[in-house]
Amino acid sequence: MEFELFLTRLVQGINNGAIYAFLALALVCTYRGSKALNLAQGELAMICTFVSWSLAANGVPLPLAILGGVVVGGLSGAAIERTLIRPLGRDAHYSVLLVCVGLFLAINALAGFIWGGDPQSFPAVVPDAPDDFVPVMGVRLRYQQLVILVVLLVLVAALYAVFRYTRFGLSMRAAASNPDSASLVGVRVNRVNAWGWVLAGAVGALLGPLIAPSTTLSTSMFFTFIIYACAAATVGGFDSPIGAVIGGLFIGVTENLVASYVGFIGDSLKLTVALVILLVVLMVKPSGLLGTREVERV
Amino acid sequence: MTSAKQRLVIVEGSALHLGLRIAGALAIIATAFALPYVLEPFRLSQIAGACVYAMAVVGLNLLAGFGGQISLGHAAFFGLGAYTTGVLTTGYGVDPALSFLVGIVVCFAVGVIVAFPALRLRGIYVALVTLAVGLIFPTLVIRFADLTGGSTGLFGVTYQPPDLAYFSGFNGRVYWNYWLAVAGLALACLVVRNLMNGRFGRSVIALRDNETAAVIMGVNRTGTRVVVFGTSASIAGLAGSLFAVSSGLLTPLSFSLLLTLYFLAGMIIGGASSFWGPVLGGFLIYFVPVWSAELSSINGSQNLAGVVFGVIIILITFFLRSGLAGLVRTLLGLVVRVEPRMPVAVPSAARASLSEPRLTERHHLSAPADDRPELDRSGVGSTDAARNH
Repeated sequence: MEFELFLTRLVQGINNGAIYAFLALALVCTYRGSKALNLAQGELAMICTFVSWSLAANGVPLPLAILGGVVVGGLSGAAIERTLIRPLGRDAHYSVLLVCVGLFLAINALAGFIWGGDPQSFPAVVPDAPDDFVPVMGVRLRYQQLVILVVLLVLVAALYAVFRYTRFGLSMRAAASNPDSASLVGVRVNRVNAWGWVLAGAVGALLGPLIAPSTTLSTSMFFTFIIYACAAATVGGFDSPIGAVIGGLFIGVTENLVASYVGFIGDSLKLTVALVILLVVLMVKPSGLLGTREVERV
Repeated sequence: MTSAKQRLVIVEGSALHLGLRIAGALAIIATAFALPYVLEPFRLSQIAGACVYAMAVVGLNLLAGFGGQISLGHAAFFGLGAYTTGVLTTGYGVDPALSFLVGIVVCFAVGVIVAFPALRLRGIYVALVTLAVGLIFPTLVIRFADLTGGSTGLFGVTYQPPDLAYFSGFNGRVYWNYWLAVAGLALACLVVRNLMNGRFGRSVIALRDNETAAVIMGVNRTGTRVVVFGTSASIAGLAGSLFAVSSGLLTPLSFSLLLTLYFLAGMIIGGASSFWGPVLGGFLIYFVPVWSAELSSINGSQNLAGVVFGVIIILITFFLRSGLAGLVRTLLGLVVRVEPRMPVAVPSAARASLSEPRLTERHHLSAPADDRPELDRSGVGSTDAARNH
């Protein structure tokens, strides 16, 4: 019984961790190329989810509606990179961060302006009634949670394969590790970085409709997830997709177990656990578990 | 050159320059005294609220503008000051003035603690540290609900006006809060101004512009950064304390990430690294949402302010790095030019003895002349360069 409870909590942690990992993956996609921490990533995903919701509400079949949101996400990623990030140049951390802050405020407010402040319910992709689960060793795995996990694993595998085995992935790694030399040997660094933003926008837009049935669709749905995603990406290393997934799952499981077994922490300090992990990693190993070491410790 | 002739030229330090500065200061003081007689009480309390925000932005500007270290957690220091005052006055009956002091000290200490991890990192990682600290604060407020009132909030924080005829009327409390806020803002501006006008300020700016060069020139990096972080945090904390006594109600939601982003917006729009730009920015982040709410009562009124801020931040990052303060300075520069004062003439005998060895040194490499004037001059030049950047 005790063990079963532990398993349930573990699975719950993995489920949350998968969401963090998913969004962290989007952060990694932009960071690899542009060295930008896109704080507005969550808001971008949120507004794409609203687009999908509007499409679905107007009679478009749900999978097509989600696809529409994903396309909008990818396109807006590309547009943001081209118009707002690239002109600032490569070493403009401060300005890029400010632009992302501006995007955060603007997108969040724009969504509220168009769709109103009230939360909306979002239809689930798979049956999501109370009895739609797979029992494994007494733990209930809900269909929707399984879908998120499977999509996450497929995405990571695909991204890993693309980065590792294709010519495009090679040029992406070259552009990330040494932009000047890469452009000298004919890699179109700007275009490759733009693809990073397209991927990030699309990944975020795919995550939104998957979590919206349980979180409900609102302008603030990504406020905490983006923080968790930052923590996950830091733990895993900001330029490693696999690291992001490991970091996300690690944070999801740790915070859930700590919150359940340490009475002092409880549910109210869950986020604090993740943030403390973030601070500890920044102190001990700022490049994260799998990231390339480029942070100067001074 | 032709346009230079049409401009009014004021020599720095001349009677005219001094007179204009004194007139400006007097105008501000006169406005501060006149406002309670001109404005309705509720407008006056809005001005007080704006002063409190402006104070926090002035504090943030010390760290992020002059210091060049972006902070995504300044709402936490604001909140820490607010809750220090709130908890001490309502829970333990401490005098509010004393609680302000405690708030300042606590915020300075926490600022120093946060500064140390931030010292070792760069770029987005500094932002991540402050982000984490900023977000931990509201969760702690909710966790320790016995002390802080948790998510329902802390009620009844007030500061009784002193027993003076001026504050005894029906609106005495409004006047008192107004004067507290004005005094706090003035204090914050003076502290930042005095810190930045001098050796310490030059160290801060040198560290921001070229850390390696600054350290080589003998700037104490750790000391400078830690003091900047602590001072910035305690200014934000005092602003928070004043916010607590003027609003009377504290909830953890008021100190969220959104507030930090608004502070940043105020700093950027008003003009980072300028002395009065952040004050202007603070008033804007307070009044733009108020105005847009008054103009339209549709549900998205608050949201429209967010769109405006977001778009303006992006536009300013691209086109107007120095913000509104820089814009005003440029526009003023079209009409008025402040020229530096002519250096005081050195007696001719002294000048001859100084300049001749240098001339010989230039022309005859063999002459090991006294090179002190040369060194002095280069030293002055480099600090000027640091200031101008």
